Amino acid sequence: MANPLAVSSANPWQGLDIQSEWERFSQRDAASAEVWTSHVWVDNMHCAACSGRIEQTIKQQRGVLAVHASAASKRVRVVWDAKQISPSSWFANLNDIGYPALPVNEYNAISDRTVQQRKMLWRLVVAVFCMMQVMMYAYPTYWSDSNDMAPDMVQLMKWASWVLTLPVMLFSATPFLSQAWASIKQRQLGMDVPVSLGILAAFIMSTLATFAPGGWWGEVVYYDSLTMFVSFLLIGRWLDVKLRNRTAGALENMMRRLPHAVLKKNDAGEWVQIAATNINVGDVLYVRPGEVFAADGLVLVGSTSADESMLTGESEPVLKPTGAKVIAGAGNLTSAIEMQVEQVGEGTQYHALVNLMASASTEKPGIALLADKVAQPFLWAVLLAAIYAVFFWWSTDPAKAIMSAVAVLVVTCPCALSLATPAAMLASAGTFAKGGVLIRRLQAIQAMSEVDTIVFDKTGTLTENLQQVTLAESHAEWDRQWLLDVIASMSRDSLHPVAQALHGFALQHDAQDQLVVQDWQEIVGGGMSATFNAPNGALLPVKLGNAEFCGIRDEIESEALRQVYVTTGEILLARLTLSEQVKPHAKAAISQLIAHGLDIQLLSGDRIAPVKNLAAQLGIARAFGLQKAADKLQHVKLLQQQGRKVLMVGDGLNDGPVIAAAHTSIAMGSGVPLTQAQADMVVLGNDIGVLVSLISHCQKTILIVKQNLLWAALYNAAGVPLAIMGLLPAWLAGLGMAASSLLVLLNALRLTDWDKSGWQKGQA
Amino acid sequence: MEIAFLLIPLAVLLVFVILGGLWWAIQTGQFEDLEEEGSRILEQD
Repeated sequence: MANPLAVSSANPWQGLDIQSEWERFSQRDAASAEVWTSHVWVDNMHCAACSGRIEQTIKQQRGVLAVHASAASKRVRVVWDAKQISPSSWFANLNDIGYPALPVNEYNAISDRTVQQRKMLWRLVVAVFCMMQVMMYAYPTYWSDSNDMAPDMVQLMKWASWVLTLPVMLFSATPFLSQAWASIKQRQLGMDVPVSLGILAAFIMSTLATFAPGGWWGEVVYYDSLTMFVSFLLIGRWLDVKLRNRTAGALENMMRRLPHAVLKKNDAGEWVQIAATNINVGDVLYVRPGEVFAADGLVLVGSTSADESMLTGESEPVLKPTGAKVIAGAGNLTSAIEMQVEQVGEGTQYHALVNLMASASTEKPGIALLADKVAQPFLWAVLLAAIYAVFFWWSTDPAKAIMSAVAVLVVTCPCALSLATPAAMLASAGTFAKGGVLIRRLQAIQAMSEVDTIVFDKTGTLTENLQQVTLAESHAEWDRQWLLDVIASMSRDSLHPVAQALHGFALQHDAQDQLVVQDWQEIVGGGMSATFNAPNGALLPVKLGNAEFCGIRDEIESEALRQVYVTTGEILLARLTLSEQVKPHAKAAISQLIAHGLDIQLLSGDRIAPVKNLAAQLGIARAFGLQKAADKLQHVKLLQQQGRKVLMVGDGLNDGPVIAAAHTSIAMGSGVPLTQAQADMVVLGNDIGVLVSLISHCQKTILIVKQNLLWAALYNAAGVPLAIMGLLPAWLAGLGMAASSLLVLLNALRLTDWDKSGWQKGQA
Repeated sequence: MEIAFLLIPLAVLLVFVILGGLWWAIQTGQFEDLEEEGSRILEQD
């Protein structure tokens, strides 16, 4: 291998000093061509003290004009002068003070979304604020006797209301109007069409009544109903935009994983640093332990183990001997290797994953789809009813014809009905999000409420990824403390999770990891060997590893997940068992779920004995070990054929197909993005106890949706005939519309209270 | 009650002034980081 050490001591950020590279996370200043504003991500900036330190340090660099660090968003904005400083020097500076930074390559996408969210908030603020003012002018006309107010005073208030309604019509309501127009052009009937018709009709009638009172349109104005209606609709839209941006944010965290600069072997056989975007198929790259593979490829020289948990959910490190395939996005754990690039950029598995998540977050918002679906048949009925009203009255009284049609549009203004489902679901989704549960599809709430069988995956779902170590036996003639010292010293320098667990265990038992270790060697997939000075002074070769590696023929059957042996030649010095630790609330959660009539099953790819053991601990009657992905899928399909609604709770790639097949699914937070992309809900914390109240809250949500739908149906069944008959003046129709939607919203608001402590009674 | 003829238009005008203020607040990102700004005063320089 050429000498990569020479390069590793150089500034690893040099790849960023190419203008095309820094342009991806920087924007040129409007005033000066040499001044750039860059956005970087600092993952370990947790508090205000960190951000202060970062600002102080970077500001001292010559050429850095301004710094702003925000601990809440973990972002740092640096304004710098390209003539005086290069990005790599302040990146290195950040690294030196303990805050390694990553460029935020997708900054432009983020700022687009910020602009969009700001605009929606601004529309909402305008609508609500104007609505409040309009209400103040509407109130006296509702409650005073007709003689109490002078006619010119009434006229003045109408005028003021009109002026205040203008911004709502011209600005706040434009998304509805333009979308209605778009759907009419496509000859489709969306939710926005009757909404817009109602808004426009109410506004035109009110305007006529304000400026030309006495015509057939009468003298009544509906500015209050109008502004209130628009405000309610905008609240829903704004919440929806926020929900989607959150998903997109999760996507960006994932994009940041790939390195931006790599070491490539050039034609002369030297290692040179290039930008990750310039990697080509066939390049030979040098990847150090702790780095992330930048492309898919083959191991050319050396052997290592890789952490592919981000992509496959496999928490075990995967062996990568020479010739093995490595994938972009995976981490290199044990040793430096050379790799030959086979796939790059769009072609990599990692990119496919990112694309999958991207498409999920740009789909049409769930709330709009849902509302459309519920309302579609209803919309036609409303339009037909309005047309019928016009025909019915036109011959006798054109004014009454128009007014009845408007009354039909306004009284039904699909508020109550279209808000019934999304309002309740959004309220729950928002509450869940605050409680650490993200919902990817609102429909999942309904699916979740129907579940009668829960299938759990084991590792990471019911158990911690941490492994619990016990010293099962040790040789009686050897000093126990010395053995622990040997274990600690041997495992000190290994990155393998088992070795780290052993090291931690030994230190907990007062071991020292400072023994003199000679000839230390780590054999991937086996264990470690080294030579120690025994207490009696002799040189002692020691092996630590699995049964095969240590030459143990008759492995003792155990309920533990795995066993590790320490041997010297033929003598067994110690045997350690590693078992998984059950998550703190798992037992209580499972027993509560069983108490509420749910069937709980456990599927795992591990050996049968530890799986059965865990199931017994948790009180799960049905547990199955040695389940491969296909077996799990088969199992779930069998359950579904019996008519069961299956909830799959998992975290790994092995669960991917199962999660897609199940009625609904939950991914626990430590799981992989691929599963998260497919799972309907994602539990961000690792607390399985949330599950109990989650299911009961979903049931409560559906109950409230049904109440809302029932109320909306009753209201419309009463309101529409009255409106067609001309018995409902438009102001009463407006009041009814506002009251009906308010009732629906208030009912939904009851869902914002989520008691995570346990099963909630469905007392809704 | 004649004063209402002055006050109501004034009130309407005020609404637009306030809306202008809110517009400035939203555009300069005043609502984007509600947690951290409060603790900046406690930072050590």
